[in-house]
Amino acid sequence: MLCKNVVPVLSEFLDEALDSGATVKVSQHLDKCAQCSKEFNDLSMLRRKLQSLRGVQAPDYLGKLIEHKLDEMQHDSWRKNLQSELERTWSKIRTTEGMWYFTKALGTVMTSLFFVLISIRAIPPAYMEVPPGNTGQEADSSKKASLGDLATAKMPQRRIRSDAAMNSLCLYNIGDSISADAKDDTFFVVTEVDPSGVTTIKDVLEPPRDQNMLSKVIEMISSARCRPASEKGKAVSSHVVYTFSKVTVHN
Amino acid sequence: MLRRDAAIKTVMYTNELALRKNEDAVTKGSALNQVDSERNLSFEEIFERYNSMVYGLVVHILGDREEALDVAQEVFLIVYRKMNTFRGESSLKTWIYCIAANRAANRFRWWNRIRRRGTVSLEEHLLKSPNRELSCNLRSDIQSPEEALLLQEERAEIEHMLLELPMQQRIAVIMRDIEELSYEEIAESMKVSLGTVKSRIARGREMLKRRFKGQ
Repeated sequence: MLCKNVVPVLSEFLDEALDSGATVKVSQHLDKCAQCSKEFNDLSMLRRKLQSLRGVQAPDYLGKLIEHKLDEMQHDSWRKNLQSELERTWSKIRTTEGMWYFTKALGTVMTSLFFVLISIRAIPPAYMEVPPGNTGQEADSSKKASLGDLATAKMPQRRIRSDAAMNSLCLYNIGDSISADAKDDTFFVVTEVDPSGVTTIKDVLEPPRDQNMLSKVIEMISSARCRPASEKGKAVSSHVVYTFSKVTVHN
Repeated sequence: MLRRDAAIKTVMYTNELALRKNEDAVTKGSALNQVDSERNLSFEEIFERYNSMVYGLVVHILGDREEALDVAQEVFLIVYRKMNTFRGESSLKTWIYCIAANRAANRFRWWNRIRRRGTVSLEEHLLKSPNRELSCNLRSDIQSPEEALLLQEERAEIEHMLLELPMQQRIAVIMRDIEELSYEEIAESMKVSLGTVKSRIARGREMLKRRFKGQ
C-alpha cells in the first residue's frame, strides 16, 4: 500500500472503521513507513486531547429551568398548541411538493376571485344611486355643475349606465340651458321613491321664478329611477327632498 | 472421500448461514424492543438520561455555557412538544442529538447574523475571553492545582480550535471524539450519508492537527 492511499484512511483506521483486509494493509504499512506512522501518532494524540473534553455535566438547575418553562407553557397551552399546529402545518406544506403547488394555485385562484368580486361590486347598478338620508349630495353636485365645474360634472359620467338616470351632468345641462334671467333661483322638490325605484313628484316647495327650469327638472326626475330605501333587507317607499339652485357667476 | 468432505463443508456452510440469520433476527428484535422501550419513556426519564449529553454537545458546539444552557432548554422543550410524534424511525438518542445539533447550529448562525449587523460574534466573544470555558463543569481526577491549571489551559486551547472549524465538521468531530457516537449514529443524527460523515470527521481532524502543528 502506498502512502497516498494510507493517509486518507488514517482517520477511519484510528476509529477501527476499516474492514479487516484494509486494516491489515494499513497496519503493515505503518510498521514500515515512519512518515505515515508519525501522522497516525499525531492523529491519536489529537483524539486524546479531544477526549479530555468529555464528561461535561449539565448544571443541576437545568431541570428546574425546564420545569419552569413547561409550567409557563401549560398556562397558555392553547396559544402554544395553536402556534405549534400552525408551524407544523406550514412546515408540512412547505416540504411536500404537491401540497406546496396546490396551495400556491389555490391562493392564486382565491386572489383572482377576490379581485373579480371587488371589481363587480365597484360597478354601480343600472339605476341612479340615491342613498336615503344623504339626498343633499346630488344637489351639491348640481351646484358645482351650475358653477361651471366641468371636471366635477364630468366625473360621474363613466358610472352612468342608464339614460334615464339623474346625475350631475344632467343637472349641469339643465343649469346651462336655463335663461340668465333666473338669477340665484332656488326651489325644493319633494319626491317619493317606491320599492321598484320609480320616482314621482309629490310637491314643489317655493317654486322658482323660471318655470322653464322647473319643468325640465320635473321631467328629469320623473324619467329617473332611484335606488329605493331598504328596511331589514326589504325595499320600502321613501321620500326625498331635492334642493336646486341656479347660481350665476360673473367674471 | 472428496464427496464426504464436500458434504461436510456444505452442512457447515448451511449451519453458518442459519446462525447468521438467527443473529440478525436477534439483533433486529432487540433493536425493536429498544425502540419500543424508548417510546414508553416519560419526559422525566428522557431528561434524566440525556440532559448531560445534550448540554455537552451544545456547549462544545457553541463554546459558551450560558448560550448552551439556553439552547439545551429549547431542545428539551422541543422534545417535550414532539415526543408524541416520535415514531421510532431512528433511535431516541440520535433523534435528540439531531434536534440539539440543529438548534446549536442555528444559534451560532444567529450570532453570526448579529455580527453582520455590527455587533459582536459568539466566536469573537469567546476568543477574546479565553478563560470562560466549561472547566467548572468538567470532571477531573487530577488533584494537583498545577496539573489542573495545565489541563484547563489545554482544554481551552482545544475549545478554541474546535470553534475555528466549519460547523458541520465541528459537529461531526465533537460527536465522534467527545460524545463517542458511532459513524452510523452520527449519520443518522446529521441526516447525511456514512461517506459524508467519514469525510467530515477526517477533514475536521486534519484541520485540527495542522492547527496544533502550526502553534
